Amino acid sequence: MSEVFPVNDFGPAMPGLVMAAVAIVHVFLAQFAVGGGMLLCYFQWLAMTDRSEHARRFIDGYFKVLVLISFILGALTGVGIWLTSIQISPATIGAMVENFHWLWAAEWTFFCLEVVAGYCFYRCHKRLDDRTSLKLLMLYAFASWMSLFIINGILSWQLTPGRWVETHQIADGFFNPGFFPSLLFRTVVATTLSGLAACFVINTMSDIDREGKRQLINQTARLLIPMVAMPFLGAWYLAVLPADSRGWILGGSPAMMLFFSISVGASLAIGAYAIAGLVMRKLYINGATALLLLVLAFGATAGGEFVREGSRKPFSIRYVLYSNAILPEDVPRMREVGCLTNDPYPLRNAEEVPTPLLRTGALVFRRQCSICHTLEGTNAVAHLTGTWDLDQMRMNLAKLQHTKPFMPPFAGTARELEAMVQFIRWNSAGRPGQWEHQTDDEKTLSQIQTWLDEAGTESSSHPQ
Amino acid sequence: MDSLFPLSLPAASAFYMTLYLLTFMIHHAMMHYVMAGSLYIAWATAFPGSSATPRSEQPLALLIRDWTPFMLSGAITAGIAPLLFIQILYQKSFYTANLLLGWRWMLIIPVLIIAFYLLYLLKSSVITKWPSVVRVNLPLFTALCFLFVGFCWTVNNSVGNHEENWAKIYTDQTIPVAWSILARMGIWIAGSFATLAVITGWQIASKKNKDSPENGTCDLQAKQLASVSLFGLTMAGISAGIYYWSLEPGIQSALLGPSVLLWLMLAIVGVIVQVLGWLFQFRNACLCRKHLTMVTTGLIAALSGTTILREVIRLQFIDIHKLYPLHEKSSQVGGLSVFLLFALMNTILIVYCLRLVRTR
Ligand code: HEC
Repeated sequence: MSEVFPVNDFGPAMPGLVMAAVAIVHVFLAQFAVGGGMLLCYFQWLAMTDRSEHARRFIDGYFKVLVLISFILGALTGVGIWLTSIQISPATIGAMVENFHWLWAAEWTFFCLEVVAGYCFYRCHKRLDDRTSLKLLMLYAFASWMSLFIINGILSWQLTPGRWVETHQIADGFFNPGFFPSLLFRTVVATTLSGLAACFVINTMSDIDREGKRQLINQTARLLIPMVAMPFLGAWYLAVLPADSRGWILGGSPAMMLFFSISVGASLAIGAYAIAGLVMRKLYINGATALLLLVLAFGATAGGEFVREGSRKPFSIRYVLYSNAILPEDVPRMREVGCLTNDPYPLRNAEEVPTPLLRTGALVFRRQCSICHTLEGTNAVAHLTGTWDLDQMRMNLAKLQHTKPFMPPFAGTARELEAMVQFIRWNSAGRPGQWEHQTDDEKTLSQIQTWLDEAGTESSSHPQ
Repeated sequence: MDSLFPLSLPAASAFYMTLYLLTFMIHHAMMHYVMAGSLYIAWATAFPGSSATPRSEQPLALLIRDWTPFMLSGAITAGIAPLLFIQILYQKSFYTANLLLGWRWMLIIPVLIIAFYLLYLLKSSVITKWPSVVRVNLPLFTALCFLFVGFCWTVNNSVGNHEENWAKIYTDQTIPVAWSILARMGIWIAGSFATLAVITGWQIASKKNKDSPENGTCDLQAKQLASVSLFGLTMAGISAGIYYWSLEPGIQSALLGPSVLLWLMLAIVGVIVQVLGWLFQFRNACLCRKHLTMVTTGLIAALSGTTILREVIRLQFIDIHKLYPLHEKSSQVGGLSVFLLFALMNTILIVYCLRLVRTR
């Protein structure tokens, strides 16, 4: 059976939210950096071919922003995302590292190139000739795009592992069905973000007159043109998703659909403004508007990452590992021996929980549910089970994967399930100091067992 | 069985271990520059000295201030590789330590972000206009940030090594910290001054070659760097003695065991070579290529030796035999050739970048 790690409590936030928050910030910054490299190459070329009067001044200012944001915040949130994944789901990140560590190591060599090329340009570009500057910028842009290329393969594998499920070949995992649509989509997002950030930076350059700024902004706007491809790339990506994930995004899960709509709506707004205003009518855009568009873009990224995180449910790695770190192949056994046999960690604040059965229930909840549910905060079980009577609750939880297909099957014994039911009830009742167990007699347990057997040990979500 | 560590491990384990140790050393060298550099700046600002130019405005301090942001970038980037390999080598203990430290551990990210921006601030001219309380304390605060991060890593290592404490740490949510951890930190913090001296030595020497030779400042800097290094090496030596003495007898004898002894000797010889190299340069009041090469060799020897000893100590707590099958399993997945190919290509491109800016 898989290793059991200690589970931390994030208060009212569910762990997935914590993960998504860090991931969103990082993805936003990292994609800005990737696009930034391409944008700088473009402006360097404009400067070299005398197509833009202020390009050099702009490159200088923009690169400073890029260094201060991407080299610091981008890099450190990158480490942060890694450490956060360990906090949220060590089993998930462990499996990813095990399967893809050489690709990650390869990505690391691109990070090194990115830092060296970037710093060489940063420190020396004032005394370098144009061609050398362009070479450095191209290496920088190449390295940062390659890091996107690699990480994109690993992340898309989590959601659409494709043939890898049967072959376990690294190439099948990496070039999975989601690889190309998401790579192209993210590349377009990258150029868009870099373009919007450029519009903002240009506005802060007080030594360039308004006409100069307008010219720069019009040139920047060309980097927004690829946005027209976004709807197609998005549709392509949706098309390769597993049918159940797609279903949740397109209406099956209200929360997921909401985030998806936010993402689409914000992208459409940016796209419409960019194409109609900036590209076609060559409008000027002031700093405040540019900032507003960036905020919208952040919203789009946030929505998108939420959907990406959320639509993997009930898996954290599709068909390989459930979100609660239980391996699908372990479920039948855990139905017999229980889910606590190899969990060495006692309950925190056990003295507040009055009976042994309730304490067992708390441990079962911690192990199987706490990754997606809190007791009282977001997605709280107290709230979700509020209207159910006792037997309804027993049955619905025993048939967890049928109650909602984005939940894994229950992986424990009938007694553990009853303990958890009692624990949830006790908690909903305001955690009183004393608790009469209604029933945990043989009859109840055998009824629960029947429900568990009816539910089976398989997930409701299968490879097509 | 008595072959040299890590070759004494089975092939897969030895391979990951070697990569871990190598990349960890690169990370450490750059991290040392930042750690010792920020401490040096804090000290130079607090104690400006009696010469006409205060210490914090002298070339050495200016140089360090100029380069610490890059070195931190480098240290973080270089740190990603050992962070990857440690997850393969010691997944369970590393993850568990992370989780048990929880939010306390996650603090290192915001602290590093703050410290990173402070390094840029210390280098900029804005700060010269600020009141002196701020100017004196900001470098100190920056150095404290790095000390905190170092402390967290040391505690992480120690928590990971003591599986017998895990359940209790989990329920009590307090972290037992033995005083010997200070000695352990003392070794690398003090040792980082030796690394700083070597790297800045080369920076100054190569600058001297390029610019018109300013012998006056170079004299001073040779003496300054020699003092920095000798101070660091002495303190590191003392800390190492205390730390060794705090270890259990079983671990002490493991450090003297046949597959490890050579590394211990290497570390000691490395320190001696550095001491001699710096003494020469102090006496000649000159940074010269020959002696810089000498101290660099000594530094690499000492860094390799101590990095390996550090691992040997960990293995006294963690039963690596149980982990061999996991390493073996990890080594079965594909992708090594992709890594090697890109590693080669990117090394060439990195050298190319450096040449682009060097020759023009
Ligand atoms: C993979 C994440 C995940 C895991 C693990 C998980 N759940 Fe859920 N669960 C959800 C989501 C998402 C919902 C939908 C919430 C909503 O509709 O607002 C849900 C809904 C529920 C509901 C309400 C169902 C309904 O029909 O309204 C209950 C009760 C529930 N979960 C209990 C549990 C229990 C008990 C466990 C542990 C044995 C568990 N869940 C494990 C994600 C999960």
